[in-house]
Amino acid sequence: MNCTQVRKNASLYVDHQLPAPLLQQMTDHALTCAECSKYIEQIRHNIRLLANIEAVAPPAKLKSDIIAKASSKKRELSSLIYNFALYTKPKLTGYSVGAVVTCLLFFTVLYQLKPTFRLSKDFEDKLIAAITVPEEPLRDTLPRVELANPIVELTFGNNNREDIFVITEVSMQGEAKLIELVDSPNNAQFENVAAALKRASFKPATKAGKPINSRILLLIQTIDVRG
Amino acid sequence: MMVSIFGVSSNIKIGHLAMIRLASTLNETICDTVYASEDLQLVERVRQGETYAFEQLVDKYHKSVYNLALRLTQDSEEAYDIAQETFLKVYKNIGQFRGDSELKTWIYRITVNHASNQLRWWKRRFKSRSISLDADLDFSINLSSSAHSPEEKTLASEQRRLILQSLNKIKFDFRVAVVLRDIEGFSYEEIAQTLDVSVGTVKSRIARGREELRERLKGTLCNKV
Repeated sequence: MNCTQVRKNASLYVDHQLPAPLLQQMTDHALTCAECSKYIEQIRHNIRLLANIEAVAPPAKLKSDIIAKASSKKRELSSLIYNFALYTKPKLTGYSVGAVVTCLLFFTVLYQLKPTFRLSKDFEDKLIAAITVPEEPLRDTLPRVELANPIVELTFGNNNREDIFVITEVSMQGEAKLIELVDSPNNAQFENVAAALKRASFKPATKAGKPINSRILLLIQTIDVRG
Repeated sequence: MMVSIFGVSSNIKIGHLAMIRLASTLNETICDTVYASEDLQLVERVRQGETYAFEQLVDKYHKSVYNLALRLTQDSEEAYDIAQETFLKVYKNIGQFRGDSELKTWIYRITVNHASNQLRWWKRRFKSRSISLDADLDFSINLSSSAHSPEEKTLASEQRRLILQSLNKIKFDFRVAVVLRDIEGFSYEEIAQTLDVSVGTVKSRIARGREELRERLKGTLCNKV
């Protein structure tokens, strides 16, 4: 055995970890080699110094601190909420981050594709025109007699066949009021015409779609229905 | 007085040492079995939620855990924190202790892992750690048998300072192996279990750690052999 081998095995030698034959060889070599003997003794000396290091007393509060912390840990462990949080926390964190990143990516892609989805101006105008119902323009109208209540007066034995012109006022509510007889042979007809107009109903005149009061000139004709 | 095997009748000495080792091993085995049985009972009581059992466990191991952390980190505050964290982890994971290894080995493994993490944390933050061994650490050498005179006490104190300083400078893996072997007195198998490595790796780490320590102490008061 040479010096290199002795030094390589010195640590095992001082710990008595070598098999007997090797141990004998080491011993024989050390007996004849002063350097190796010194080397082994230095290792032994250091081991003795380390072994003589006495244990240090830990701080007095260490034990009580450990027990106090363990007790608080026990309370935490027994808490259902704590256990739930402990169980879900790492998972929630991972999933949450994944979900947020996915959403961000989705909206980023969507934003990038936005111009593609936009309608062209012409097509948009045509589309709006196609789906919009055109409004009828509000027109001015004249008052009209309601067909449900026509002005018809059946008289007997009257030979007056002259036509009568009357000026009538039609209110916004569609009520007619005789104002004046125009070109009438006698004033006796006035009462009859006024009564007939009262029974009739009118659609009022409109201006820009709104009903207004109006005055109209009516021609009342006498028609002989006898055979 | 040192016992040297390099005497005249080396064969007889080796035989004598082998007998001492055998007796010592038998004694250790019996003691270990008793302690292991006690520890298993203690673990079972802690598992069942007995607070007093955990107090007993802390009482039994807090000193050795603190000292191991102190020897690995060379910082009393960090050793305090590591000891606390170690026992909290023990408390939290006591259900996972299967009894494959000794309780002491399991607790030491947690301590070593915490110390390793702590040192890595320090390294990551590039914080320089200047420690005055005389001021911060309360290591002491047993002088009762070897040092009586003031000169001897002074020499022993200086040797203590130097060896701790050198121990702190060697690689963490080697330091752990040397501390467990030479200060804590663990067997190679126990160290292998604690560090979760093979016995061969343990032998290598101890040998390299001792060699590095010897190199660092060369020419100092520690090497005046």
